Amino acid sequence: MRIISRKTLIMFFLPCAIFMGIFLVYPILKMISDSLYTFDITGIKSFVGFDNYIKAFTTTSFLLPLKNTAKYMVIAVTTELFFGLIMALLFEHQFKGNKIIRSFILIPLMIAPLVAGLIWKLMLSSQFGIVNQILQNLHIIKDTNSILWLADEKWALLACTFADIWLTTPFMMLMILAGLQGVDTSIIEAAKIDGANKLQQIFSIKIPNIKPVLLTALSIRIIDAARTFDIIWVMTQGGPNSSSEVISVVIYRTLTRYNKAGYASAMAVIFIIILVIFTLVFMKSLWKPKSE
Amino acid sequence: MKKRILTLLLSATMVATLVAGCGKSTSGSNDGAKGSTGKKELNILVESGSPGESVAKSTAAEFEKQTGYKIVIDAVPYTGIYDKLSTEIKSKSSVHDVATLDVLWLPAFKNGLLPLNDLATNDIKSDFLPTLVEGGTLDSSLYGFPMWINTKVLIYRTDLFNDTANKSAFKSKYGYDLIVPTTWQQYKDASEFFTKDGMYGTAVFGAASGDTVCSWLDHVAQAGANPLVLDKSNKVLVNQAPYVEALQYICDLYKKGYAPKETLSVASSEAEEMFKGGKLAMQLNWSHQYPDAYAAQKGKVGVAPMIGGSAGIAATTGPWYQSILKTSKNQDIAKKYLKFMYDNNEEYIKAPLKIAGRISVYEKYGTQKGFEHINAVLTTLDAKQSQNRPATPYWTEIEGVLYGTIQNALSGKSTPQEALDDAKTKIEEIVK
Repeated sequence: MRIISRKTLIMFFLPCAIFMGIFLVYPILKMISDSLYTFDITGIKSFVGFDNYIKAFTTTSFLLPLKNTAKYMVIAVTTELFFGLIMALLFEHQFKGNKIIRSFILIPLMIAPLVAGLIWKLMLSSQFGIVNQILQNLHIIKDTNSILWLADEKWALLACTFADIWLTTPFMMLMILAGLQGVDTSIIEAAKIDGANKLQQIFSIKIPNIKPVLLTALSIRIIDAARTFDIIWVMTQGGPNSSSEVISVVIYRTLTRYNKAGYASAMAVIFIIILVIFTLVFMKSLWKPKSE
Repeated sequence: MKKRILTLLLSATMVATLVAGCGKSTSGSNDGAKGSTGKKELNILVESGSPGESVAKSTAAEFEKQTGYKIVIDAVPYTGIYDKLSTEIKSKSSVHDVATLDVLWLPAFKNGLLPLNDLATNDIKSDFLPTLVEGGTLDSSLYGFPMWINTKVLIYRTDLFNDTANKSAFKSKYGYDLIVPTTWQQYKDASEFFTKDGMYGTAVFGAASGDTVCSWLDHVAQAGANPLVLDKSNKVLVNQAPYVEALQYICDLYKKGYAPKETLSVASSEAEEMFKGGKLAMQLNWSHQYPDAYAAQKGKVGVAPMIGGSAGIAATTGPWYQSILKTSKNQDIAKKYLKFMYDNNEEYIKAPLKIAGRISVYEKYGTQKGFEHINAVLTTLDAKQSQNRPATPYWTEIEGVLYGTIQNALSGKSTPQEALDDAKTKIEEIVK
């Protein structure tokens, strides 16, 4: 005999289903439908089939931002993972002031990306910025104009990742630290008795044991970095010469500034598909909990 | 039975909570639905932090006293105004009755705005500052009542220009007295002269923003272009001589080192910060930057009309209007509000930016200390070549092409002529 009837189950499920239907499924379906139309300035739409998709794949206005998004994602997430892991391994050990330093390191997490972007924009200014001043004092650069972080195509995208890395490395650290604290100490003890050195303990015991946590954190950050908007908007607005333009900036601009709902929807659909495929492949190839 | 009743009650509660959560709150100061519930309220959309917000707040009590209508202010960032109105107009249901609009947005929102010809009598229009009637009029209908108008002016360091050593050094180098520049050549010479000791002569706007385009168009108008960018039949004009000359001029200022190297990330606010920090001797910037620069440099700042090219002084104008949404249910009271704000236009000049939209207000304040920029604005506005940017719903997209073009030329990827030829093709694609 069932403890809860099927009808009761449905009744419990229904409110959430309605919510998801209205706020998730319907907008996605509407977006897919809109991507097959063009809208004139008065909102009148005409069916164009896959023209918007063809346009996206044949113009640099979509392909360049796509490339920039991939670059941004790889640089930001890899660096965050690297520093997050180091910090987590450090804070795993109890030392004097551990909790205070850890709390300080978490401060960027409490700052809005928009504010972080503004802070970094000021810090990277070649006229007043502290970054170039420090580099000059350390004799790494000749003068404060040697690296134009936000005005040089070579540096603009990288400069935007600085803000992202500063902002979200603490998140990565927090996730990895939580994973590390869950590792059974007896395994580490056994490894030590067997003569494993520190590096072997990290790479052969700790990291494999926190793989699920690591992959979850990576998935969250990859998706998050891929849809980054506010940092880039406030730091460079995609410039100079579109060198720091990422997909979300282009979609936003196309939809709200240029009123091209059809083309913006097509770009968003393509972007969602790429992200879903990427995440699925990534998760599937790296995480096989059942087989493990 | 008991279980079924409990289940139903639980489900009903959940659905009710969901619906309540999705619904619009009827409390709070920004609730646009109150007006439709029969309460005497008028919903105003303004830019947060702008004089529009402060004046709307400071005059709200007086309007309520006069009419019995409470002013509900929705203050959002600059781009948020466009986004909100765009959604409201497309959905044909308005939350707001009155909105404050940048002149650039009027063509895009024209179909959702109420024509105000009956409200704008000749008496009223005759007190609008120059270009305000033209800017607010589309297809013979006036769609907005002006709040203020702004132009770029020349803001400069008086201590540097009055310095006797500078005066004699300048005269011996250029063969004429060091004066506040009025022409392209004088401006270029002064920029070159003051570029020394960690200071730049001027700033060139080159960031990926509308400011960059507007600044270049100032020079285009000075070089003789009229109209700007598009003619009446939507023919694209951007690769004609005045456009190329103007682009060449700003490229020269930048490439010769008279402007900061980070020009490709500089727009109005960045230039102002550099000026206030003592890094610039001059800047061609929006007039509202003057009071702030004056305070930061402890009074060592002067202001003059925009410089002139071969066609004389010119600048593109930046007016803001208040418009009524066509779908507003309070159109009559909204009209009264527009007239009330017109009568109180003086309040805008008392706000931090110190700009307004009526000739009488400018005349009253033009002679007062701290309002020196007003006369510079009036002279610039009165110039024959000062004009609005084209009234086209495609402007934001065209602007995107144009700042890319300017960045290409500034970074040396193309010559000004090549960059503008390419821009012409792209803009033709947009407006076709």
